[in-house]
Amino acid sequence: MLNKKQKFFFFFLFFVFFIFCTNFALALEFRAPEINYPSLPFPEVKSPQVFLKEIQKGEIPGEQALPLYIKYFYYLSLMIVGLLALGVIIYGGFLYLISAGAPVKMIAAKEQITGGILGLVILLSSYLILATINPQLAILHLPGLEKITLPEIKLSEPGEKKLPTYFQIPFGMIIENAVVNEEGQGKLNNAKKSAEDARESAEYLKNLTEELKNLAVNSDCGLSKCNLSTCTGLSCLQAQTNIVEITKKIEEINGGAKSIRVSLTPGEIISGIGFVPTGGYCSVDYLSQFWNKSNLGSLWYENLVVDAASVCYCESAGNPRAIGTTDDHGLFQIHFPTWEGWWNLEKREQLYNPEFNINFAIKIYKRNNSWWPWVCARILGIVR
Amino acid sequence: MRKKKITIIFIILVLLVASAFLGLRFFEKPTPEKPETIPPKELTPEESQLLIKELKEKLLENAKPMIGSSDFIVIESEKKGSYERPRFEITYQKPFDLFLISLYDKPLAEVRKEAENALLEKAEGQLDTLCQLNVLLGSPRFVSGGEIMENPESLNICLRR
Repeated sequence: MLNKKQKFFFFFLFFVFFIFCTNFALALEFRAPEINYPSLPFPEVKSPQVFLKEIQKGEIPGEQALPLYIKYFYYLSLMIVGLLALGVIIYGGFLYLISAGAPVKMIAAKEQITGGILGLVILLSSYLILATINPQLAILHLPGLEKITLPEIKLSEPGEKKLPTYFQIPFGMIIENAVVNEEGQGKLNNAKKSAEDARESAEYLKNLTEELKNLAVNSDCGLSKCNLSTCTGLSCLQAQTNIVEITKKIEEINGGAKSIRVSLTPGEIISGIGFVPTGGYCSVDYLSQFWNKSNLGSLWYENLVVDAASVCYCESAGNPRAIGTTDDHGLFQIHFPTWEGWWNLEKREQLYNPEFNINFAIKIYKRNNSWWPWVCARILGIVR
Repeated sequence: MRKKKITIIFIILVLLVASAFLGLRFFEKPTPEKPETIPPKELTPEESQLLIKELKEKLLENAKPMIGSSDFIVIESEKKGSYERPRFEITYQKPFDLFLISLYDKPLAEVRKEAENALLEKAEGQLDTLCQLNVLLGSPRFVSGGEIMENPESLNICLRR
């Protein structure tokens, strides 16, 4: 015959085996349980047939089967033990009732009632006791494995706009734009065409200069000093024609060089040396209205306004109220002590008016026929 | 026998009281259900324009008009920079519908970050709409020494989205 300890050991072994076997079976395939477990009067406790169905549907992760089983059996045993304790108390009460005149029986009945109540109290407080020993034991939750999320690596797509570095000529970016971009390709083609034109012009100029040199060597004006403007000889006339041609070609080359620059200015970037904003007081659109186009060739005009815009942005960052550290004011950072009294400039406040400031800058530019009074023009390489 | 019983009851009571005080703190807290992520709704151009308009109004609330011009000071840095001026200033240029961010201190990258964050804060975190506004960033030559900053026509916080 088995003693109490052995009975308990075998019961425990059977219980553990039962629980784990179920779980292993579930681990292979989630099937509906063969036993129809009774549903409990606790709304938060689901019977195995309910939660297994949910696992099958994927509403609950499969790892939660064991904790849910434990939870179910815990509540089931709670209910059974509770009912047993109640039965013990009732039976103790009945014994107490029928033990009149028998003090030993009365004490035994009292002890039974006390034991039943104590058992019930311990049972009801089991969760609290468990939580006091180790709160983690009371949390029936098996954390699943965390999903590993790899960081998304964004590869730059062809044609994606790169951030330009303005203070160095971004040859890399220009070349990349030229290769991968249609717009860039167009710009590069324009630049190439202009450069070829300029080269052809330079070769033609070289030939003309050679010819001129030969003519000069061969010419004889009959005077000690040959005056090209007054001479009448054939060689001399040829030389005059050549000079006109040379001047024309020099202008062409100059124009070609300018057009290279224009072809590289899509309104924002000047070949990596400056920045032309597309909006604001320093934009080409706004500044254009202040320059008299009729007095300038269209090419000169475009370059001039682009230069003005880049100087304006560099000097003041487009802020009409920018005040420099050396008494420079407004969009073009006009140095007040230098220009005080010129073209009705009486107060510094006048220079905060964008229109006044721009018109004043144009006057300074025209007076010098250059951007050299502006430090930014030298920084940006507009003047040397 | 009676003494033993009293001791057991006393131990249980002490255990219960201790459990009530200590154990209750460790009760499993119900995990808050994750709110369902609703995919962002595609805005129509009209809705988008309306959002931009509302954001501009929000940014221009309490903006100081600049004397002698139609521009407004939207935000001024509270900290003074190296040039006896606020570290940055954000103005609205009405004729161009442009928010100009002028940086008056170095290092420019740091001041730029401060300015962009201040603008985002004023926009109450509406980054998507904020990124649709016209902006121009810059630093005058007396601060930057002529250095042109990267990406001056959009906010860096918009690039990182």
